[in-house]
Amino acid sequence: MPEQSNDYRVVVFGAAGVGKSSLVLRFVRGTFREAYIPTIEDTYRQVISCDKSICTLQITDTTGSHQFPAMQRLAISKGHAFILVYSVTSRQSMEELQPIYEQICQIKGAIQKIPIMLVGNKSDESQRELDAREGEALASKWKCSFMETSAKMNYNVQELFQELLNLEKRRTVSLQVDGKKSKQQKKKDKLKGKCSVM
Amino acid sequence: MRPGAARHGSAGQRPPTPETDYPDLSPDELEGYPEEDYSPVGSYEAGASPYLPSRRSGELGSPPGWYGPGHAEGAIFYPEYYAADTVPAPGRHDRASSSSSQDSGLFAAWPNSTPPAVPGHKEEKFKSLEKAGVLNRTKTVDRGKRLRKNWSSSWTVLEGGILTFFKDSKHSSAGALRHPATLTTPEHTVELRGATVAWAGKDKSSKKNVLELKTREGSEFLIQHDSEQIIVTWQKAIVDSIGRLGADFPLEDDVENGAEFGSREKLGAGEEKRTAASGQAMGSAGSESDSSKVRNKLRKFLQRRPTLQSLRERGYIKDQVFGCSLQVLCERERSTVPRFVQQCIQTVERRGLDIDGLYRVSGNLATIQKLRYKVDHDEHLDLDDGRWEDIHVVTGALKLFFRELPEPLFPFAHFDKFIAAIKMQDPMRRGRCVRDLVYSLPPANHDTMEVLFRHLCRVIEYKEENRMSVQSVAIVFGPTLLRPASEEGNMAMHMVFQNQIVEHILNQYSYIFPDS
Repeated sequence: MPEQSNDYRVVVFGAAGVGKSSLVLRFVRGTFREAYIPTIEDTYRQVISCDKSICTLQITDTTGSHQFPAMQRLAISKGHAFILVYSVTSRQSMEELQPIYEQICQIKGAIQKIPIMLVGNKSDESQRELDAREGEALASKWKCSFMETSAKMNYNVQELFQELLNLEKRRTVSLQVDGKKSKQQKKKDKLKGKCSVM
Repeated sequence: MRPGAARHGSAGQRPPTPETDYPDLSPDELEGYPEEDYSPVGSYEAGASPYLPSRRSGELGSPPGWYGPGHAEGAIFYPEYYAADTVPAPGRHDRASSSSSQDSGLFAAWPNSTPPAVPGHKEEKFKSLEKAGVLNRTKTVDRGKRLRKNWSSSWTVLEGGILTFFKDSKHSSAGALRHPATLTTPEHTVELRGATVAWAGKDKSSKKNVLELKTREGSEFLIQHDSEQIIVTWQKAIVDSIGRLGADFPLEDDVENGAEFGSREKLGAGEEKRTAASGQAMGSAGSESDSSKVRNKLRKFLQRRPTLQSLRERGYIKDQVFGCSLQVLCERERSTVPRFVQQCIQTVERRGLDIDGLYRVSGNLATIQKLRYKVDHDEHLDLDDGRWEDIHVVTGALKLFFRELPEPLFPFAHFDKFIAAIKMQDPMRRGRCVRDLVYSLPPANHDTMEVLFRHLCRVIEYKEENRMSVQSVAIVFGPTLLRPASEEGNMAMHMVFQNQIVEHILNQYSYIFPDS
């Protein structure tokens, strides 16, 4: 696994049933499944280009149904960027993000340097409990970006991941001493293929 | 003062003494310390003279390895804490262990060398914590009643004439040292006043280096450590402590105190007088000694809190529902299925079988905790109360109940057998094997499992409405009901089988539980 160190790891968190897997599957496979199966933990990989070379975008889809503090801590400490998903149909699902956000802050420290997207999924649903302003308010409190999406309607899904990577680019500029140039100008590769394609 | 404490490097790894019970040292108090009295302590970082140069209050904040809120004792005791085998944490305390060779035993001897003229502040601070370390111990007689010997090693602290054995020796490993607070559950406290200690003969124990401790109330303990050097320092410390208690507080003074916890009033008062006297002797302001009086009283009070064990024995603490072992809970309720489980199931079946994501979606955690508190502290639980209106709160609480069982519904002893059974290729054999295993469970586990799985089968019958398939229910309940005794090994792999086991029992319910 020569690219191992070159991995860019994104972790998706959120309460049970908010559509984490649906968002990831829509992004990775372009499909939406009606099935309703809880996730334990899945990881998807996709090749992206960054700074004229290739690297692997690794997306970890976590469980919302269980409390595995150890797994959660591990995912946070290994992750480079985070997507925090709630469902616009459930206020409770937004509240459940609070402890996760706090844990990210605790483990990662300087939170401003970490790309985080707050996502209100199921924006196609008519029975809302939360409108977009509430998501925006929380995002500004947490100093992260915000977007509403619908995995079902394929609304804002590509944009979500694009924006997340953009966040990284913007912030690495100020972090150039790190020497992590590879993380700059990250662009999603249109190729869905595996490394062998390259 | 913090930076000083942090600097000597061991602050984060201090041994698990009940640190919060000790008073902080204010610079004012420190001023009362005559500098020559630092000398007997003798354990400093390399380069620091055992005879500290003259320092006054302002600078006292950061000399090597010494001060900081509540750290005085810690610093003093490092040589003992980290002496040879006292703490099984090799390599983590280089500074301390390097100094321990010359200092071992030094501290245990100091009480004798402390002249009575020493100002009270110092003496009492030194006195409060005299020795700490891991010892093997067993109680042999409880107030005249003989007990079976049951050796266990435990973190032991001698302070203020009280010997405290802390619970759960497992934690006194290196890991626990990083989190001292997690360890401080005293299991036994032994009042040393009026006690005697002697080397135990071969008739008492076949082990070597065994001390026999007899208390005034007629209880007897055996204390042992493999290292003769260490056990000797303990013997000295205990003898000294007993001697001092006898001298300071003659037994006649408090005949009325036959109780286990002794006379905190008397002891507290004694300290007080001395503190007051020393305060005057040093000519410090009255308010200072007032505040240390209060601190002393509080400290004494906290130290003499009855142990959890004794409170339980006296019936002050009722066992709770959450976190209680299934067996104990069922015995208490005289049934084989906990009442709380039945209540939750009835409520869900009455109100929520058709609700989307039943058992998958979680309820509000704060509300679930409130429910749990109510269950633990109240006999009467009405799940139809408006507060528990959200069915996900009820399902969340039920899942929490199973998750908090000290031993899961599928007992540890059965875990590997269930895993082995589910791995069988032949479906007939697999089915029989799982059925037999379920049948072999203790009654409480078997019956609770039967009730729970019957309920989950009903949940699945409503899958058109609640979208909970067999597979989904299995994924949600697998890790809640089954887990290995130790978390080592392949967690992800276990998880797959855990879920398969739950799924199998759901699918084969009527075969596995033919009676229901």
